Amino acid sequence: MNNKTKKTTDKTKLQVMRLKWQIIIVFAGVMVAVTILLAVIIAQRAGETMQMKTASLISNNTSQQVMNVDNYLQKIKTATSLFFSEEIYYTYDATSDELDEFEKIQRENAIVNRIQDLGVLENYEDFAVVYANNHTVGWASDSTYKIFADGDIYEGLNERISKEANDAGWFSDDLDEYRNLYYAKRLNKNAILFVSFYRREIESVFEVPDDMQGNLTIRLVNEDSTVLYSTDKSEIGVTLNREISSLIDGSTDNVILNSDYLITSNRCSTNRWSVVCTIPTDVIMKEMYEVKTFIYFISFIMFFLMLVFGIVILSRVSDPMNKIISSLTDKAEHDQLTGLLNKVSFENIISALMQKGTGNEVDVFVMIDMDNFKTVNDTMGHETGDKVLMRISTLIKKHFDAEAISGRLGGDEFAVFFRFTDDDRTGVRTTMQKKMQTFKEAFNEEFADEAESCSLSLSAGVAITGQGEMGFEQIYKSADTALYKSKKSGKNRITFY
Amino acid sequence: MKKIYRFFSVLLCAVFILNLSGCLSTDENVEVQSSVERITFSWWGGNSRHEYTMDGVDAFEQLNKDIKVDCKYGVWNGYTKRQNIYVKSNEEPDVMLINYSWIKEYSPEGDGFYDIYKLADYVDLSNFTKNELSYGEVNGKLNAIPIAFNAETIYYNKDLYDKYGLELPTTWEDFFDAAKVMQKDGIYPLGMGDKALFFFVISYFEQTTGKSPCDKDGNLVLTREDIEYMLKFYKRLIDEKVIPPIEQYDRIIFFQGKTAATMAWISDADRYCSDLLDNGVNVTVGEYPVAEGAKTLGWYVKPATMYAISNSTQNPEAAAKLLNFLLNSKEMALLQKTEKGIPISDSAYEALEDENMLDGISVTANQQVSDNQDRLSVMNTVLENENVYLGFVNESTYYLYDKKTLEEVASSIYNEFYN
Repeated sequence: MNNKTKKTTDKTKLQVMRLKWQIIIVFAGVMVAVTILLAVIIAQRAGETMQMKTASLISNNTSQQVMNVDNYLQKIKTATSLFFSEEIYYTYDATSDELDEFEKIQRENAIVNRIQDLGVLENYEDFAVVYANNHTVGWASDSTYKIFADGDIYEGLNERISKEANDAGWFSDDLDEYRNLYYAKRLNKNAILFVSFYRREIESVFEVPDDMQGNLTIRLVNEDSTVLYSTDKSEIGVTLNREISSLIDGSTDNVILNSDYLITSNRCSTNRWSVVCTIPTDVIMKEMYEVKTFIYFISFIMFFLMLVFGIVILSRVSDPMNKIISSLTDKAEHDQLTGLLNKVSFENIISALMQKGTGNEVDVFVMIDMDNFKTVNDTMGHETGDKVLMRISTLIKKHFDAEAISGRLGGDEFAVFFRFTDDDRTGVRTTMQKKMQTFKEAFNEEFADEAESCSLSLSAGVAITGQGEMGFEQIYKSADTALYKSKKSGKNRITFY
Repeated sequence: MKKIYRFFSVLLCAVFILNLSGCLSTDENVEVQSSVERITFSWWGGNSRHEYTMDGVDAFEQLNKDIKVDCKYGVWNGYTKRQNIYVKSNEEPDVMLINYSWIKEYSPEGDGFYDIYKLADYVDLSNFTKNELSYGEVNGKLNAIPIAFNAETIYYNKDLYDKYGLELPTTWEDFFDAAKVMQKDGIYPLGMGDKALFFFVISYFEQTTGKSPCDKDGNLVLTREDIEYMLKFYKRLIDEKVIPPIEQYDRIIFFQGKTAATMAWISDADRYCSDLLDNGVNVTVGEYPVAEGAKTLGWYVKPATMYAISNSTQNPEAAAKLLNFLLNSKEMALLQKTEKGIPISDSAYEALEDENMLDGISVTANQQVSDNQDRLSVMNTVLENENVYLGFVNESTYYLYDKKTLEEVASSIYNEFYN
């Protein structure tokens, strides 16, 4: 009988478990949603911050490099400006006949000394004055003669500075494969001072941060968008990529981020050259993907830990609840005095059970009633009466619980339901007669004292039916009728319907 | 159960804190910048030397990622002043290309440069003979290592001489005779710069007087009369249009055919002649001019240039590695070729030999030095002192243009030599 009654309890527990899992699923769902939301927001913000930081970093780097370039170029301008400190340096005209040859040598020696003083510690490739007759004084390099292969250095330089407002100009030449960068400044109507330095000299100001090696391209670009220097050597001497050029066109200092590049462009203050840096956007995005992946990974770990934590908490809450539910269920289904099923539960269980089956089963309904129980109550008190009820319940459990379901229908009336699956109705009747006889003998032995003092005895009615032939009401009435016959025919007997 | 609570609570808190503080990093250490030793390296020269040397520095840095080399370079004119500034200000580059004469000038006791013998673990000295190293030794300290041997040599535009039906000069008078023929077209038989002129005049002086400009200890012993003798010859060279004024001389006028020959170091041979050779002009190495009855040639050989390490270097090992690379590596030898002359270093020489790079006019000039070993003298460093040769050349201008008398100019030069 305990197994059967447990089913009801289990059902309730199942409902509680279901509720528990519903809570877990809802909790997990909320956690997933919140985690994803937070992860996406954090990743998004991290990505934006990284883009901004990278743009800012490269922009600052470019600004610094422009300052370095400006410093270098300004140093050259300063050296040439110092040529105007004394008239003998900038007024001398080698084409003039006003001085004799000796005087010219003296003046030129003075100019050479001046050049040596101004450029003595510098890595200048050229530092010389060329006159209208192409006579040079100072350091004129082979590269310069190569660029002006026709020997007309003066006119070549003149063309390059004539466009400029202050009779000075910066240039580099493809004939020299842009290896030297030049600054030329007019000294007088027949003399031009020119200085050149290797492109390599400014390479040192274009140091690419270690973590951007291979990705960041830094260029020095002239006003015609010709790349004078680039960390990508293949770009030197060619026109700046049209796409990049169009994006920075007309701007002096800017930072542009599109789907292809992060571009920074800063113009030198010394001349109209610019430092243009580019880094492919996907390189930045790659870094961002790594950060996002990390955020998502951490979020997953967080979610997992939170879920485990939630389950543990829920378990801690639901275990006592299950006990309470079990207790309440038990109290609702069982008679509090005897521990047997109460009438409602018994009827519900037996009704349900009788409807199930294959049709081959044989059901037996036994109704038990103690004779003269009222006398026990009247003479020995209700407490003794209650103890008698508890003792007969114990006796019923002892004899039938292994194979039947028992309940207290009220007062001193009890019911026991059997189902036989492997015997016919005749065999069942025989079996039941033996069982009941054994039980009655046990009763008589148990309550021998009460039988003597109060004439306490046992009457029972037994109804036997095939599965599906009767409902609960019918078998109940049949057993009750049989019990009535036992009572009517002198009590202390068992009657089969 | 309380333990489980505590465990999860602590774990969650830790993850939260680590996550928020960004400490969940995969790297334990973040390397912000690697340490690099920086050294400086200086030299003088023209475009081609600058370019191949910087390429060599790049190659060295590729092989030695922990060393960064800052280059300091310039043309020869004025470079002595630069070197003097470096030395006097104690700001010498770690590795220096130096002139032979600077050893005596800056390190008379052998303490002016780093003793390279102390860095023998880094510099392979087995590539040099004891005699070769002796040029850089002072008081047993190896101050510098020679790169090649050098001598002033005369390179002729033979096509131009042929055009005027002239044989290449072998005597001093041959130049004057050639000038008589060429001057109608404004062409000079010979051209040279200031130092070459000084050695040209010294050679004439030695051959025709039998005197030496220096005593056996290497001290200058030219008298006022000797200087007057030299000045007269110099003036004759100018007046009779043998050479153009040295102030107007540049290698470009040899290329332009305004001079039919040029006098230059072997190490400069390619620089002076390559453009003409590229244009198909027959340029040849000429014999040293000899005066009738001359007992000595008065022509000098010296270590072309040398590499030294600063005595105040903070990175002697890195400097030594660079020095060894410049002198002995195959990479540098193939970049340098014979630009500084035929390399003395065995490994550098073999590298050029293996690649069939031992040819050209500098090799021919070097061969002439070898052929005349017994007639050539080892250069007295005092003759390369800027005060001496520039003193002579600059002061002589006053005599050439009749601004001062011969005696006045000789006296000025004499004072310049000995004060």
